Amino acid sequence: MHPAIHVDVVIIGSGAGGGTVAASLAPLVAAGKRVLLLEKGGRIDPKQLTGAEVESAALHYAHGGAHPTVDRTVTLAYAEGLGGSTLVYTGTSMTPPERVIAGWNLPGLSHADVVKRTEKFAAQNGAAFIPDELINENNWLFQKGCEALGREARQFPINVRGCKGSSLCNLGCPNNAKQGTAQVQIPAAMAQGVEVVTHAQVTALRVGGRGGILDVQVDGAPHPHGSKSAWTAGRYVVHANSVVLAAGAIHSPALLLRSGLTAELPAIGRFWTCHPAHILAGEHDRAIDGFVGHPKSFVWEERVEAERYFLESCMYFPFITAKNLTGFGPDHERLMAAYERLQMILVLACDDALPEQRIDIDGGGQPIVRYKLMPKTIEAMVRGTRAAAEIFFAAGASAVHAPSARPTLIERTENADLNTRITTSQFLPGTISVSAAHFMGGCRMGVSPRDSVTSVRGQVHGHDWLFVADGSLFPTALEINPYLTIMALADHVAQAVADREGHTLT
Amino acid sequence: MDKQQVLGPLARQIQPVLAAFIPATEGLTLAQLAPVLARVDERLAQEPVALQRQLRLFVRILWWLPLLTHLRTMGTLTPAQRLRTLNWLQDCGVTKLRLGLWGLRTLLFLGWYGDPAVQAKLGYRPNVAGWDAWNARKRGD
Repeated sequence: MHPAIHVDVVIIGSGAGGGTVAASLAPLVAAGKRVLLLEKGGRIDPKQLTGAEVESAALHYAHGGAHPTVDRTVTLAYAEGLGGSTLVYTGTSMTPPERVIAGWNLPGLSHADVVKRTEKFAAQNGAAFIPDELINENNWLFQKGCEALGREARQFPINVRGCKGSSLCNLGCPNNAKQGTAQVQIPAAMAQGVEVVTHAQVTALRVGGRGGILDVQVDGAPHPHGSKSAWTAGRYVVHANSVVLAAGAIHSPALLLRSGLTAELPAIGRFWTCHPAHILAGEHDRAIDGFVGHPKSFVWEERVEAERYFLESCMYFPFITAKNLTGFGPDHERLMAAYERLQMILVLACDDALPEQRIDIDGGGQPIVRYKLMPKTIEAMVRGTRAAAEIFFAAGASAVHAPSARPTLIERTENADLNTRITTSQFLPGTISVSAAHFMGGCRMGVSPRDSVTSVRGQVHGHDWLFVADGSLFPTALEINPYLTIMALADHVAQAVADREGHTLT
Repeated sequence: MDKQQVLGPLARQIQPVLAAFIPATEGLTLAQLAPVLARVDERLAQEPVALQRQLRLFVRILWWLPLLTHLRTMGTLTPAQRLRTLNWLQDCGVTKLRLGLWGLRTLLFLGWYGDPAVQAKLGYRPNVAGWDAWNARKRGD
């Protein structure tokens, strides 16, 4: 056991939430405060990234990118490493819809304030529209298909600097172009004196003194493609006046559950949502070459409010594509052989925040995800699949692979029959691949400890020293890609932490 | 059992299932199958021992299942019979069986489609240099 470490603020996690808090609180160091950031994963050196699919997924993702829910009908993709899931997102930079923030009905958190903060981080991260000449054919087909149907596909900004169009965003940018927290906020925080320790897993959290006490296990093994921890291997005890939990919407609730606060706050882990998604493929008669250029540029969200889904252009790698195409055998193999001619669209459902959808812990204290695909979610995914099939055909596809159709391949001549070809009765959980990467809830903000975990400032009810600053704060699904909103909320929480530390952030 | 050898020892039982999932693998020898299963085992090594055990049990069930319908093992079915059997499982009413099949299929896809040589044959040619490399290839540089 190493000697106890005393700090003013400890931040657990370095993704969109933790990285932001570290940067926002960095001015406290100049005022004499000690700020420490702990990250479970290693620091990944982009220069060593090859883009090889299986190798890169193993390097970046927990469970190789497929953490299964307890009922195994959904797989969850999230990264572990300095930068968290900002290592592997596409950098899709969206501001949250007003109806969602207004629907949260949280006194002291206005849509205008959240937008103002998202704009700050969008600027900090260099978010901008990709120029037309660098948008690839796969993305244009999505836009053209929408246009032909009278739908308005919206281009969204991407946070890249010096993007070469390798298309490898989801495997970690080998060109270091994507502006995640490991590129922007964490270096800025370190430059101002925030201490960053990787390979450091917080195993327990308890009340102590005026703040919290953390048990930390530091792994001494070097990361396969990165540096070793700044601390020598072993067990540490960290005493902190303020603790900021930003380990993501799976691990933050799990740590709170391990800490034994469940009885006091029954909402811990609950109201968890994830925008369950699946990939659709449309076959064209010519090469699409989706493997060059940024994978995502457009979203179609005109039916998100009424029909609870939205569609995004996307491109995925061969194994992920094979996994997502329903079935196997000659038909599956033939479609895979057409890989370079495939257009792809991602269907994302807006799932309801329900108390039974929750993060739990197993006997060893590890997080498990008790999440079920509810009938309303399945209906939304089926509606989204039909809408995507229409876009594929309008863009010129000769056939569309729809997971919830039997047979799964729909020929162009069947375009008029999509409502009967794609149905909820053919959406068989356990047969259809559903994955998710937008984890929200589990430590939801609110007014009452009966149905929320933190205050609107991210302060855990009844524990003024303990804060949450990640996607687990969301009371409901955000209905867009969440990273900028996570940063905005983390910045908002950082102000509350600074207030507790007697420091006013400007 | 060595954690790196989850499905490797069951190569003979997996061979006909893999061929049904991915017809291009029909006729592969066990030696040729080894790198595919090694990739799967590397992935499975991260998973709990209980899951590894379930998967091995599921492979054995698949091997013997056709005895009920054809009085033969999976290894002696014709390709069409294998495909029909596995398709029946894929859409059957027992969620656990569907999930088992989905899991095995996904792992075998990882073993096969995760191979950079197979990916190149599909026309997947990513390059760290992105547009520069793509344009150079189009120009025939």
